[in-house]
Amino acid sequence: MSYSLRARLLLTSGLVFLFFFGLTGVVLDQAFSISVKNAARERLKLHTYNLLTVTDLVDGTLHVPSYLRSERFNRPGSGLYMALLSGKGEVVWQSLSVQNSELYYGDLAAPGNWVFGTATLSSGDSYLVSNYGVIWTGEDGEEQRYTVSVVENIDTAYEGLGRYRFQLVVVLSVLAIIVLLLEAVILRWGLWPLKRLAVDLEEVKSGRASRLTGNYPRELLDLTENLNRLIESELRQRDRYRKTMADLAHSLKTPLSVLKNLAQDGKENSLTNNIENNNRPLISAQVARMDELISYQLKRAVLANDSLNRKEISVNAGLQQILSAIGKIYQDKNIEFDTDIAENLCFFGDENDFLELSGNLIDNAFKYAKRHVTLSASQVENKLGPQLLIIIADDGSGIPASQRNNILKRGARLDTMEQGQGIGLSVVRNILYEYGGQMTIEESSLGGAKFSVWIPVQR
Amino acid sequence: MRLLVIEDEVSLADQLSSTLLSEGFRVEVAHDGEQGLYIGKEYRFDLVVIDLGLPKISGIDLISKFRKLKKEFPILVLTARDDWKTKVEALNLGADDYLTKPFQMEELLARIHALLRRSAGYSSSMLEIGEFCLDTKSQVVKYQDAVLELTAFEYKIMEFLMLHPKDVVSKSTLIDYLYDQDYDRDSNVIEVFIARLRKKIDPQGTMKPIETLRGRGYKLNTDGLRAV
Repeated sequence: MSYSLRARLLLTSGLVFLFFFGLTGVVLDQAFSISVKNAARERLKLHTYNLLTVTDLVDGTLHVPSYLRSERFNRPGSGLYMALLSGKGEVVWQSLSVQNSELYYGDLAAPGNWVFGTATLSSGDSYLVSNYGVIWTGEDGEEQRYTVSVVENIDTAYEGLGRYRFQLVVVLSVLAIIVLLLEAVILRWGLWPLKRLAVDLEEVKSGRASRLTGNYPRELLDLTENLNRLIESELRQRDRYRKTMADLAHSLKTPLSVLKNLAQDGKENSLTNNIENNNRPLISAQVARMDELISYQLKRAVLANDSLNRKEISVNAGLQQILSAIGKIYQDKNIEFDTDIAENLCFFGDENDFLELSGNLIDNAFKYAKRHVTLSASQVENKLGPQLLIIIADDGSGIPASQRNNILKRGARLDTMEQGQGIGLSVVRNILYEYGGQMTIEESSLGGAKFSVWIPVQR
Repeated sequence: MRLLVIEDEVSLADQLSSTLLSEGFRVEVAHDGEQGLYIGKEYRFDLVVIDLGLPKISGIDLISKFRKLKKEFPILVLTARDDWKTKVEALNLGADDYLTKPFQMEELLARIHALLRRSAGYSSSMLEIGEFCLDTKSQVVKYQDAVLELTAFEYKIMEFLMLHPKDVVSKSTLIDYLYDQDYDRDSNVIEVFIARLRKKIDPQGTMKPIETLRGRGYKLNTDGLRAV
């Protein structure tokens, strides 16, 4: 069995959330880290400007206060350092915090320019370095170039970044878990109708229910309606099989008992003599009767009108097929037949049912006609809605009015019907019953019988 | 008349074959579609009986193959299924008639005779040319309402000629039709039968009912039969 729907949806949405939260994390981290780095640079710049305000060139000598305002410049090894470098790169002044520290001040900066960079020392510590080039003009107008270098340990400069990252991961993970839990709850609620359907089907399967009666969402209605139709058709079919078997067993008993009696007579008087004498036609007739009964019941059992099997069958094509086949069978009778079949007529049902219905009616007409058969098909509208109307008439001897009702009456078993009536019309009657159709028998203008058949047109 | 029966159920095939033989037909039997197709292709038949549920090649396919090969013999279909879909398919593919199982041999023989007649262009079991008349059902031959006493072989030759009124029928076709395959074809038995037939039908020698076409065979003289 493949993964359950729920597992599939949870797995795929889990992967989507993982990707989404991961991407969000990366973007937020980038944005914050850029702002932290910019803030660190701005701080170093501020320290530079502060130094420039307290420094002065007097008599060609640079005067810098020993103690600076920011406490960290005065505490040795504080991680924040400052130095003044001469135009040649020599250190002319260093803050008190530089004491005993090995530092790298980077490249000299041109006057008015900022140079930022990072440096990693042999101790493994990394530093942010900011260099700014300045020119002091002495009283004699002599210009002296210096570079103010501010160096800060990177761990202290980017102090908040690590903490921020940790918090970001925690918050995003918690969010992802909450969303996944919500998703699981939503899926459970969303898939509940399917679970209910499975339970209802189990009820039907175990015989505790005969159809699906739950209140299903719109998307499942088509499915449940079709399942109900399938179940009903299955039940009808089962019922039909049971009735067919019972009818068949019952109706075969009569011919069988006749044959049994013949066999018993035979024992007394020698069977072969008996058969040779008068009983051969009787046996033959009983066997033919049994054959007819089997054919009739088989045809009744396989009637296929259920809405799942319905197809659009072209009436014109079906009737033409039957006419060309029947024309061949009755070639010797030289029957003249006129057809009037409207274009684009459709029968909605099983192709076999349509061929059985029209085949039996047309065959009947050809069998009893003397010279002439007419066939028409059209769509008409009556109080039951649109109907397919097929009319078949012949110039045979017709059916007496007293017998017409008998032929039309449904439910009579074949063994109760007149011998020789054949099974064709009984099959037609059963098909019409299944499709909700009707049939009338009248006298045709040609002099013989006229069969009119109405079948509802339902898509 | 030479018939091919293609039926896989051996007991039914035997029954068919013996009934048809006793009716005076020459019968070949095939037990599957492939064998049936081969025999039907290689030899000349006047009618073929095909069961639809055959092994190897189905009856429906066999009918369509024969028709594609331009075999024009009438085909009678035997089928256990009597639904119209099967009947329509078989008939529209080229079969000429069908019979559903179980059937009575009398019914089968009637259908076979009807198909043979139909393929020769006659519409009833009475084959009539002028006042000459041959009834395929009762196997009686009459001329001007008088019954002609013909032997079985003479009747069969006359029936064959009547069923092929436009054809020149060779001596070997007649031998093939009357006797088994290993019959000595040099024998002049056909000439003897034809001579006897001419004498019985036309003792005065005015109608000349059967023409001899030297080196080619015999032909029914329909004009002669009609003229009197």
